[in-house]
Amino acid sequence: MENSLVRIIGIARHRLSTDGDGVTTLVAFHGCPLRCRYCLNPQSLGDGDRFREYISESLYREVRIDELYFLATNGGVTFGGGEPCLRPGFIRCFRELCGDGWQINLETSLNVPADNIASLLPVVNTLIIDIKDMNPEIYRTYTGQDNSLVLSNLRLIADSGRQNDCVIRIPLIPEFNTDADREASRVALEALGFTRFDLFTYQIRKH
Amino acid sequence: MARGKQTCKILKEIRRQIAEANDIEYVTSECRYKGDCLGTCPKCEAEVRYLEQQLRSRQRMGKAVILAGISAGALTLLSPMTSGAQLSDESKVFMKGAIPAMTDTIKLKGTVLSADTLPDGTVVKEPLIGATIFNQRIGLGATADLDGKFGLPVCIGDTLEVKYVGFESKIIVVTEDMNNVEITLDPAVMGLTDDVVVVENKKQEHYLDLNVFDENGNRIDLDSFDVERIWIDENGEEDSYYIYPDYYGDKHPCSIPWDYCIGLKDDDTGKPLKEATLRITAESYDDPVIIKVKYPKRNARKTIKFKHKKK
Repeated sequence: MENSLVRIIGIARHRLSTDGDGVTTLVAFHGCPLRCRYCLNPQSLGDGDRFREYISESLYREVRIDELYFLATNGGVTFGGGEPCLRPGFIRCFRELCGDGWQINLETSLNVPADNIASLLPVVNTLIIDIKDMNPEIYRTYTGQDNSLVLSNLRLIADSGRQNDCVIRIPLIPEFNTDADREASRVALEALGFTRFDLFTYQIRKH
Repeated sequence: MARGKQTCKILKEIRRQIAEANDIEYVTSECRYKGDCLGTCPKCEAEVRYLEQQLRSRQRMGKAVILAGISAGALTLLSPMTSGAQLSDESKVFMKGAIPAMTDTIKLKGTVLSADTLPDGTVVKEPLIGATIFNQRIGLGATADLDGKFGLPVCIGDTLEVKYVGFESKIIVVTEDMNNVEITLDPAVMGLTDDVVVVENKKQEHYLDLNVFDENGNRIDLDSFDVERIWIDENGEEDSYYIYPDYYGDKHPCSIPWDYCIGLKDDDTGKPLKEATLRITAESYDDPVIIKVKYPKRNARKTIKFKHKKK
């Protein structure tokens, strides 16, 4: 079982929502393959130095302080960042430690190797996917990266029949895409069987 | 900070529901915590620990614990949201003041010393070479050098465990201004009394005794034969490892303590093997004797007889 150190940029307790998520703790990973223009957590990127390193056991010991709330509200831990799917082994370890009673959710861009997603699907409950835009040109302009991995991982999730466990966030990105682009992304995703969407607008944080 | 107060109110309601469902006496009171509210405080945390302790107690007594999903509806106490899955970007952002920022990792340097009290009452401090200092958060440790000095990556708030055989371990929490810290360990209390009782050695278990004889029935001396464990490796070739039986008294003149024998350990797990094939080769005898042995539940004996080849 992998027991490597991961860099965490923040742990936020007692996140509440009316979306059936229960009480959750957000654990944000350092490190991300994208360089989004309006990144909300730039401290997760390469040059950041404010982080703590954890092994899966020590992170579990720290977050289980809220286990009573997790179990009572069907809540648990949401891994975000940064890109949590860069550390699938760590998350699988964490699942073995916390057992099946906790929800484990991922906030991800899906821009990671397919093997990572394949190994995570059996151990996570919900994926909250920020798709940016399904148009490859718009995607590259905004993130600096190609979106072919994203598209193949969406197909992987669809082939695994896990569409209903995904919430796809489709942002309106000022100066990068339009409402029509968002609608086109939604249509493409509906064709893959995804039905849960969150249409919203990015906050502009220049950095 | 209205959001913090709202969080506190909801968590309090969840605690109340848990207590009610499990018949736990629990009296809530108006929160008097002053200052910025992040949704929890020492009093709220203490209430959670109390409920957990009560639930564990009920479990130990065989009572059913009602917990899973009982407060799933408590989150409707939140301010009404618009329809659809409105996941707030705000909840993704680690804003200063709202979420505790991760502190910098620093290299803590220090020295580990022993504190020996001499008969005249003076205390002598010596470097504890080889003392271990373990950071529980990262699962890594350091070893004190010849001067008792060490360096270890830490964050403020980390828990370190400092250990050395024969000394009382110490747990310390990293605080600011701790660099070049001196950590002193006290000798462990052995509990010796004036009366010393000699206890007969407990009979060792899991020994394999080998009784090796020649064709005349004479015991072959330990120094005159070799014992190897043999096996076929993943390439299909024979591999071997020497095993060294020892003299453990007249009753056990040639004995292998299976649990402590490196040659009888599984390479992957480090645990004693359940069985093994041994090859015993004796001087002046052409053919070795090959035997299969099993892990002795208590002690086991094997008799091996060497015979010269017929000419």
